[in-house]
Amino acid sequence: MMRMVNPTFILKIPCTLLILVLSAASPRPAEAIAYCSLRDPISAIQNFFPNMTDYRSFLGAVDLNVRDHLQAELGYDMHFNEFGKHTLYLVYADDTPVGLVQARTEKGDWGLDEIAWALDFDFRVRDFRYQRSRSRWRHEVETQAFKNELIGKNFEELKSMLSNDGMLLTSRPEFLAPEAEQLATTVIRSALKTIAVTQVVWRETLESQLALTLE
Amino acid sequence: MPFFRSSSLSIRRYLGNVMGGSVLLGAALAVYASWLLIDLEQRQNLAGRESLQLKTLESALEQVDILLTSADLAIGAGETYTAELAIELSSDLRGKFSAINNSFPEEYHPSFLELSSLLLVLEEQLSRSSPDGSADPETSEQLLREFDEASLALAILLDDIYVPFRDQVISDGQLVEQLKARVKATLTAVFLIYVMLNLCIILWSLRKIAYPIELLTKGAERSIAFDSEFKLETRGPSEISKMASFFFQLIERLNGKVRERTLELESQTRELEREVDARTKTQIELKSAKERAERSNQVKSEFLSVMSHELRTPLNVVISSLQLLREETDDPYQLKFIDLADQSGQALTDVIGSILEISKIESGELALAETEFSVVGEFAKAISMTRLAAATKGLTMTAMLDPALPVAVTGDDARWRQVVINLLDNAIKYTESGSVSVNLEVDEQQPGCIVVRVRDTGIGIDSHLGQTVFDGFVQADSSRSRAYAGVGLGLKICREIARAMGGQCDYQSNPGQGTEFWFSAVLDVHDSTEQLVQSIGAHAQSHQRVLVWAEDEGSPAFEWIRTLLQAFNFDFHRVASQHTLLKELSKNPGAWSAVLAVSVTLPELGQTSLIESNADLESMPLIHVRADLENLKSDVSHDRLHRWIACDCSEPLALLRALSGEVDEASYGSQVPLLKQAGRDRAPSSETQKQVLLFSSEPALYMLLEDYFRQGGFRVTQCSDFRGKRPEQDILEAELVVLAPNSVDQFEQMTAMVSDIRRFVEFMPIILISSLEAARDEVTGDPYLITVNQAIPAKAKLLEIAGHLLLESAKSRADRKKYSL
Repeated sequence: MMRMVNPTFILKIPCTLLILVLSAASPRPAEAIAYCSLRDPISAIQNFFPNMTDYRSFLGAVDLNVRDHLQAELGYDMHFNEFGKHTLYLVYADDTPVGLVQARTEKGDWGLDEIAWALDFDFRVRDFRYQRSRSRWRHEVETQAFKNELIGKNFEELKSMLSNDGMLLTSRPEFLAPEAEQLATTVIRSALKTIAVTQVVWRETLESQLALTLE
Repeated sequence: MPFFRSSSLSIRRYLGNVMGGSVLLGAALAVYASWLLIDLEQRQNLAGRESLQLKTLESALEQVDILLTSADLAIGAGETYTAELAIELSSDLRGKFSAINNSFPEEYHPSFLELSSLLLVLEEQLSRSSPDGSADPETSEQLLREFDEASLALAILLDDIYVPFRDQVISDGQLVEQLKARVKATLTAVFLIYVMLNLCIILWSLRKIAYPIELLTKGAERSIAFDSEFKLETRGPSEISKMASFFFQLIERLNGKVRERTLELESQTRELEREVDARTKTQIELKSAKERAERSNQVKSEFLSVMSHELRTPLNVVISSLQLLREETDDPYQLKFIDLADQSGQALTDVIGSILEISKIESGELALAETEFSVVGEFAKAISMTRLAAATKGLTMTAMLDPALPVAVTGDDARWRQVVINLLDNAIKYTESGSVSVNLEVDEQQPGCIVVRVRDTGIGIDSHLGQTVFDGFVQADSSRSRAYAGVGLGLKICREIARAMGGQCDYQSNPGQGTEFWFSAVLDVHDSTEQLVQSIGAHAQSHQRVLVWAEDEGSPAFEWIRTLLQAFNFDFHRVASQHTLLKELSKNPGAWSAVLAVSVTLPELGQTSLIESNADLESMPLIHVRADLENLKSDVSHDRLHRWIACDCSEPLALLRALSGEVDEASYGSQVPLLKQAGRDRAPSSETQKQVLLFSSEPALYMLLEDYFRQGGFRVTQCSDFRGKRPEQDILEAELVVLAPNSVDQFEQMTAMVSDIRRFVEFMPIILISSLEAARDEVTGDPYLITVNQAIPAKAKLLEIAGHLLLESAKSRADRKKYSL
């Protein structure tokens, strides 16, 4: 959707940015900072892993180094809300690690979209679900058919589904409505960033945790 | 259209109808085009407004996006400060949507109302949000669910408002573009149709108006060509019909007139043809008469030329014989008749000369020579030659010279002098008492033009004679023709020569008071002479003092000397006598650089031995300027002139050279006859006598020339045959060859003979004596051949020439010998 920016809007942007900066800089509990605006994907974890018995959360910082790495890997930039401290959930079933869950935000048509991602330990997509989206095409991409397009794919396979700038699908599935293509692109971009961030920020943590579990 | 068929239709009405129709059609089309354009403009305005509304809506939607993002942060993370700012933003947005709602179509109003209520719900939810961790999880979860539902509803509503409106705006924009293209095509088509219609109207009008005029024009042409079978058509507009009718009547009348005039002209033509025939006949007769006259004139000229020559030759023999006879007798009685016969012979010679001259001019054979000469010198010669005649009649003769006169010019000196002498002779002839004054001037208006004015106090010329005095054989009047000698050809000759020289000859006269004749000639100033004169003048710039001995201060010769000396800045002083001269010299001998004696002959000035023997004057140039060349030839005192440098009035350069110390041998040698150096009085022995080979077929001439050369101390051998075998032995023995051809044939044979002689003896001196025109024009370039253009030359002159040639020949031989050694 092409939108023309009028002068009054230009004045609003710095105000909003100021709000966001002040929000981020204001004193608050550590967890609040960690969760940022994301909701805890508790129900998503239960949904992804019905036999789960426990999970552990690991806090990690997405900073400029991570951003540079992602930009080099993906070829496109991250949005402002993706910075800060984020949480990776390691899910257990009877003390056995069964998978990873992470919630990420994407800039949607109306506000921020929140998507909870389930990954296996080979950093392949296991499942996903929206925690929030105000797009009327949400149900087009939250279908099992579309999920099947993503499940089991690693970073490279997902990346090949998008154009170089990450803004278009290389080939639109027949079941997907043309109006939902933009939203589907956003979902795939979110999956790529989730895998990349997880690998960069939590790889060592995960390796040590998984090693402990094996002992 | 009925009015086009009607012959009563006027061009004015027709044009009015056509132009009115065209204007009305144009107006209707303009109204239609305006209607289309107005409709297009309204649609464009509507599309523009919608586009503006869409932009406003999109701006608001951008803020909604920010609001929701802020709300996500506020409610998701429990940031109360962000919630407060989001509430303010929402409130602001409600006002904005309210304003947008007013400008949007009514079908959108319920959606905007719902939008405002949803925003209020959102604000309420935001106000309920609390810092993260401060609220219990159930409350937070509840709030979050409510927020998600409300915000989703808001998003769907915004999509419902925005998407259809955006599609509508795009659709309207496309419609406007389509309409614009349609209007453009329609207007183009309308314009083309209008133009085509007008073109059709114009073509039709041309046919309706121009065609009858063309028919009328064609009719006029046929009428002018008198095509009686052609009938004028009177179709077309009423004006043209009327015009054709009037024209037809006019042509009929004109035809009648033309027929009448044709008859008259035919009659006149016949008459003119008769006249032309008569004139042609007369012209042929006139042409024939003119040819006859020209032929007669030519025959006359040839006759005169031949006769003059045939008359002049024996006459010259007669005159020369009389001169010889005069030298042989001292009897006064015989001398009286000899003089009478001599004078009559001279008069007859002059008449024959004039006739010969005029016949030459009339036959177009007048040729001018190109020689360098001094106008002042020639002028002085002419005066000298006429002074005696003036003095005899007791007339005062004065001369004036223009200081600006050139020293040397190029032209025919003899002809120029001839005119001056003729004018002076005339002035003296027709003046019984008083004076004759003559001026030599430069015409400043025309470069190189020299003017001679001769003024007398004689009888004058009657005005009725006018220019007839310049016709041949005309004198002042018939009564005077007896009183004054001559045949009246002099002035005609003067005028013809003046014209040939690029000038004029004319006169002004007051009968009884005098006449002024003037003659002008355009002569080339000789550049090389000018440069020489300048160099000599530069040499003489040291203000040398010259003592001039001249008895007559008013003589033309002294005038010329004065002019020359002043022109070249010489300081001079005139003395009138030898006594004064010696006195001046004795006072301060070193003050003078030269002595200049001006006289016709040097003895005329008296005894000059005192000057020549003066020791103080040994190194000083003594220069004698001879004012009279004719008398110089009989100057017997040359033996005593060894100290004197002789100069002629006609040689100003020689005089300037002598004054500047550049004295060459020629100044002495060319003027001193060899024979006189040898001593005429001393009779040469037969061994020392020089051999002259004389060719002449005229016995009288031969006898005369033989006598001349015998008296000059030569031995004469005759050869009368120009065509026969050359007497080679005689040529080898001869020291001088004299040729006197008597006809053109003989002259041509003589030319071949000269070539033969040159083969035997390279330096043989040759004298050619002939009054033939061919001899006058002969320019051989041979330094040992001199042509004397006279039937019988004077003895002294002939001997002088002979001496000069012998001297030159002897010099060349000596040089040849010297170089061969």
